Parts: sequence; C-alpha cells; structure tokens
Amino acid sequence: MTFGTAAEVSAPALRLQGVGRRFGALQALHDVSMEVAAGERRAILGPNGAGKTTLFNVVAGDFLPTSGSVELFGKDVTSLTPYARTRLGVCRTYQTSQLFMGLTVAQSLFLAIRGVQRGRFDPRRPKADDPARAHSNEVAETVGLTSVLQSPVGSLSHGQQRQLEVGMALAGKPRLLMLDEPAAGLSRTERVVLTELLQRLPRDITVILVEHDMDVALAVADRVTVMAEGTPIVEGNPSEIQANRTVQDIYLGHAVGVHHG
Amino acid sequence: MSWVRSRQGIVTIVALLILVVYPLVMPRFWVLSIGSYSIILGIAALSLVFMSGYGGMVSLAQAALAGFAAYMLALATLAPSTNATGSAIGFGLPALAGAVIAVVLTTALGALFGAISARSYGTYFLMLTLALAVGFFYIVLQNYEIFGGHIGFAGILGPTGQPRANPEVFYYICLATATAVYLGLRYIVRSQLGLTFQGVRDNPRRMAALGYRVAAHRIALFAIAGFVAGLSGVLGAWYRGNISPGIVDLSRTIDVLIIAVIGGLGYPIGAFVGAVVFVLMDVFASSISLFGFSFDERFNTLIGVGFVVIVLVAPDGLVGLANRAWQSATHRGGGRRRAVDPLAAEAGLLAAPMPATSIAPSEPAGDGTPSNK
Repeated sequence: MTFGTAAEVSAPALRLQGVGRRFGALQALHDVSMEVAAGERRAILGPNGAGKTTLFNVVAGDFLPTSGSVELFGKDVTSLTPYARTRLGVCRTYQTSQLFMGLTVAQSLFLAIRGVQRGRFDPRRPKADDPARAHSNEVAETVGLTSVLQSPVGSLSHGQQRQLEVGMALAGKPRLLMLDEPAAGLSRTERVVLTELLQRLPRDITVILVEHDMDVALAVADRVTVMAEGTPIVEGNPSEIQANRTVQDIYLGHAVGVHHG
Repeated sequence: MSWVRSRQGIVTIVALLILVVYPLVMPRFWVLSIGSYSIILGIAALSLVFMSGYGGMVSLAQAALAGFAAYMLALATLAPSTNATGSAIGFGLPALAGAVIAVVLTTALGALFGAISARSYGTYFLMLTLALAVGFFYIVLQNYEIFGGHIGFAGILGPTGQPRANPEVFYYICLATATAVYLGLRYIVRSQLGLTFQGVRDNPRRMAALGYRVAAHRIALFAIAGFVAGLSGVLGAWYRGNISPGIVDLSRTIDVLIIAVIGGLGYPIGAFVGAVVFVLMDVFASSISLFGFSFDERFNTLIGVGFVVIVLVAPDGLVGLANRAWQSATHRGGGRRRAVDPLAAEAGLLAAPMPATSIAPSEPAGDGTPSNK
C-alpha cells in the first residue's frame, strides 16, 4: 500500500471547508469546517438530527455537498463518486447495517477486500491460495467472526451483524475509517469488545466515530467534535468536552449525569 | 467427486442420461416440437433467471434480445436480395459464422440495454426494459429495409440444414448448447465476478461503499444475459426457419417471464422445467377437457390459471415446490436454504438454489432486529 508523497502524508486525513447540504427546505449541514489529522481518533457527538450521518454521507460521497469542499489526504474529492473515495482509502460503516443477506460472512469479507483491489471483474473462481482469502480470515478473526465464517449473513445475530459491518470496513484497508454508531444495539459485553477492538487499531488508520454511547466514544477518541443543528459548535479533547457548559446544556447533560455522576 | 453420490449428483446424472437417450426412443414430433423447443425457450428463460436470481434484475427485454439475435442471424446468413423491398441485404455467410456474429452483437446490445437501465431499480428497471422490448418490436415491425417489416425473413438454415431433416442432431445441438450455458453460468456465479453480481443484488449501496462501480457490474450482468438470450434466439431461428416481428412481441416477452416463474425464479434449472411445462400445455391444451369443458383454443386460459396457481401456492416455482416436498419427506431441516457459496467447494449440479428474489431491490433490515429469511 502506498501512502503518497511526503506532502500528502502530512496533510490532514479530512478537511472540510464551509460544507453545507440542503434537502429541499431542510438545511441538514450548515457551514461545516473541520480538520481531522492523520492518525487521529475523532468522535462526533450531537443530538439526533444534528447532521452527523449526513456529514458521513457527504464525506463518503453518498451525497454531494450543496456548498463547500471536501478534501481527503490533501486531495479535493468534492465531486468524486463513493467508489472512487473508497479506493482512496475511505471505508465506512452504517448506522443500520448494510450487509449482503444472501451471502456468507466469508464472501462478504472477500468482496470487501476485492473492492479496493484489481480483479473486480475477474470471471474466474478465486484460487484456494488467493491472498484475499487469507486476509478475509484475518479480518474475521479480528472482529470475532471466525466461527461463523461460512454462515449466511441473514442467520447472524444482531451483534454479529454489527461485527461484520465493522469487519467489512476494516477489510478495505482503510486510511480513514468512519464508524456510524458501531455500538448501536450491542449488549454491554459486546460494547466492551468493540471498544477494545477500536483501541487496538493501528495508528496509520484515522478513525472518525459517531457514537451515542459515551463510554465507547470517550474511551476511543483523542478529540471530540460536538454538532448541533447541522454545524460543529465545540471541539476539544474528551475532558474539555465533558467540562464544557454549552455541551452539557445542549447534549451531554443527561449522559454525564447518568454515567459519570 | 463427492457430489456424484449426493442426491443432486444422482438426480443430475439420471436427468442427463434421460435427456441423451430421449431422442433415440421418442417420436420425431416429441424430439423437435417438444424437446428442442423446450430447450430453446428454457435458455431464454435462463437468461432472465440468471439476471433476477443473481443480480436482482427482473428484465422484460430477454425475448427482444433473443429476437435481435434471430434477426442478426438472418441478415448474416441469408443470401443477398431476399429483402421484402427488393434492396440487397444479407451477407450469405455460413450458419455457424452467422451464429457467432449474431451472439456477439446480441451481447453488445445487452450491454447497451444495461447501460440504459443500470441505474434504475425495481419497478423502474422493469418498465425500462419493457420499453426497450416494445421499442424493438416496433422497429422490426415498421422497418422494411433491414428487418423486413411485418413479413420478416424466411428460409433460415441451420448448420445441419432444416431441423426436420435431422431432428435428433438438432436436438443434440440444443441440448449441448443448454448444458454448456448452464455449466458456464454456474461457473460464473461462483467466480469473483459472480460474487459481485450477488453483492449488487443484495445491497448496491454497500457495494459502492466497498469500491465497486455498481452500474458497471450491472451492465456486465446484462451483457452476459444478452449472450445467453442470443444463443436462444439463434437456435429459435434455426428451429422455425423463418422469423417475423411476432417473435419479439409483447406476448413472447411475457412467455419468458411466465416460464421463469413457473419453473422458479430462484432456480436456474427451473427455466427448463418451466419451459417443458409451458410447451406441453401449449401443445396439448387442445386435447384436454375437464368436466366437459374443452381447452381447445384456450391455451392462454390454461397457462394463465397455471401461472396464478403457481404464484399463489409455490412462489418459488415447481423446482422450489419439489425441493420443499423432498425436504419435508426426508425430515432434513425442513425449509432450510443452503447458501450460495461461490468460494465453497463443489456442490450439486442441478437445482442450485439462490436466495429468493423479488421485484424490488432488497433492503436489508437495519432497525435493530436481525432479519432471518
């Protein structure tokens, strides 16, 4: 895997400048400017409707911004298609799992690996010694799905489907990993496992995380951006965010009260 | 190979033996008008089953593609000046050369149809392909310079001349083609490319997020289905010896869909099962009478009633019905579906099931409840 020139390496993984996205009368994102440094773990918090998922969709290319620009690894990708951005190293998960219900876990991971490689149109069967197969076994191991490798995705439990959701994003060798509420619907134990998995990720992967569960988000994040009504309002490290009065008022009030006394 | 001793292996071998011996013991009419014709219709239906089962694309353009191949074959192989308006047309090529050209051009037209429709899904995809099919029908109906208008072309000869002269040989040509197509598609389904089709079927949005150009994969699938439909069209033209716009009209389009649904949209082999049932009904409708009510001239009533019953009683077709009957008879995990696994080792040859397909693109449940199909 190449990481580009020295200039590109030192460039932030993500730079948004004045990004806006309008759906008819609804201004889902408004003047979003932020930078996420390479290797950083950034949590994005905010109440429902704050624009977190829209922001993900704009960065991944599912929606084009109606104003502003998106830069990935120092490259302007504002009008690039989703698949082209994935090939640049942006891999994401979804708030509601987007899986291949008719395929097995092994096939899903294989597709995720092949998506960023050559041979997408190869009409031959993958060979037994295809490195992508070994890689998909490794990813399954990482996200704890080895025992269900040959099971149809539709037969997995909700927790396992969430693990596969993360596994498929990891399989694409991301430079920027975007996780949209990866802990949604997970049990307490599963959340701990997920948190440990995220903490173990190598530092050449930049992580942006939308998460309502403070225990997960604050354990993983170096920096936190709080959004409200389509725009970032506060940015800081986890302790600053927890202490911030504005943040407590608009969002964290309940969460801090419950979890951290 | 272990599948030889499995149920599917045994069924496959017995079925192939019967198919090979069939023309040697059956009368000429059964060999040609039922055997060969069923196989030809079955290949056309297989192109639809392949698209819908592995790509989630229910196309109504497959009869038009088959018809296009028939027209291209006629133009390539007929001697010049057989045109209805008298202008010189036709290249007088040998039958096999014409067949190759026809199938290649049909594959290209399949890709073009794909390029037009690849970005639409579900009902919109269905309507777009229907529009393409109907459009093509009117082109051949009204164009006399190239397509011969409402008259079409006559005197198309196969590599062995008229099928009537050598019914067994023509039957074996059809059978060999069908077997090759069937095995070829089975191979593709288990290939890297085939896996991407199934990914696009299950979740096009995720495929894009994994780095795939979804539209390009759907175009590739349409082209492959065009190739298969083209083979059916070439065999059909040889079988009939003449072609007219009737081979691409709306009722032919619907016939292909009916055959696929009767056999089972989820099963490649269902295309052929459906075709046999369809042809038998077509031929023998006139000799059936129930409670004094004759079905003479009422083939459409019969096939229509059959279609409705199948859709209501066995939405996965006759093959799905047989599969379920077998499973409940042998008490082996009733109704359990075996996942399609291109990466897995050998499995049975016949009746390889696919996840149920629907007209609408599948939207995985993501509301916190695991969905078990």
